[in-house]
Amino acid sequence: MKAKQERITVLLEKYWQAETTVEEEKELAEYFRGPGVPPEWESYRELFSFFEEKAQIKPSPELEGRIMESIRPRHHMVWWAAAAAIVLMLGLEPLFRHAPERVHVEQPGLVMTDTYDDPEQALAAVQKALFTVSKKMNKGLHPIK
Amino acid sequence: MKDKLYRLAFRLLQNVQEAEDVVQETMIRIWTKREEWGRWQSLEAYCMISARNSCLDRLRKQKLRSVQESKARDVSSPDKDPQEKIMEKEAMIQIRKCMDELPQHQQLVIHLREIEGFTYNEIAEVLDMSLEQVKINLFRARNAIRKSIIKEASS
Repeated sequence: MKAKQERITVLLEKYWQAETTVEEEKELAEYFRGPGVPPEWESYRELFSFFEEKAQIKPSPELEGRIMESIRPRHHMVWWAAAAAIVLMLGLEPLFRHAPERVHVEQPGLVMTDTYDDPEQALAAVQKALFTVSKKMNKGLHPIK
Repeated sequence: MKDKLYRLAFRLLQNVQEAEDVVQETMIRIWTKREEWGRWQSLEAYCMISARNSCLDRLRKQKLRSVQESKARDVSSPDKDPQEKIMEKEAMIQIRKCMDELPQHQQLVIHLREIEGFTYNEIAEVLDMSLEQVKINLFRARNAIRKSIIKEASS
């Protein structure tokens, strides 16, 4: 007990000189948190207890919700963009689906022409277009990863 | 992170709502700069610096307001943190009063050291001080509080 008090006396001296390390200050705080602190050190016990209590203070639980709410609109934008892209693609889908029917419409002078003669070339162009779209979508979704 | 920011903001502003507003602003600012996170040495230090600057801006604006308005923000202000009100006993009130009366840089140094457990290097970074200045301010702050509590105990 006496050895401990001697150790604390040395640490306190260093503490007032601002020469203690973070670890030594933790040791002091732990000592003053425990039982058996002599009455002459009661003020110091209160001081360490004051710091410890201050370290427990937190903002209101609602703050986190408010912060998330402030940040969320960006997510909405991304999801809105993604949703808009999907809606657009779905909206265009019937055009592709109905396209063959148009070929059969008997109208003189209306001729369906291919963009590409070579099927390999057409496939490469489609793949390139899809790659570009998916790259842009990934870029848009990046912030929510 | 938000708790540390809040405690720092509250130390400077002494107002629950304003401290929370600063935390919110800081977190949003950090979020908008998320592309830069990788380039920052310490996200925590950056956030603390940002929050401190916001508080100092607010304090500067407050100074421009009327003296009466600033007087309304004394220690008995109804905006005091309710958690603080509950926990405070006589000795605690004396220590807090003494801390509130310290010069601002001493308040911040002692807050970051005693309450957040920051190293001298971290304090120097957040407060833009040299290590020597950190030590001197901590020395002065601790000794001012020591004098105050010893005086209180002997009276």
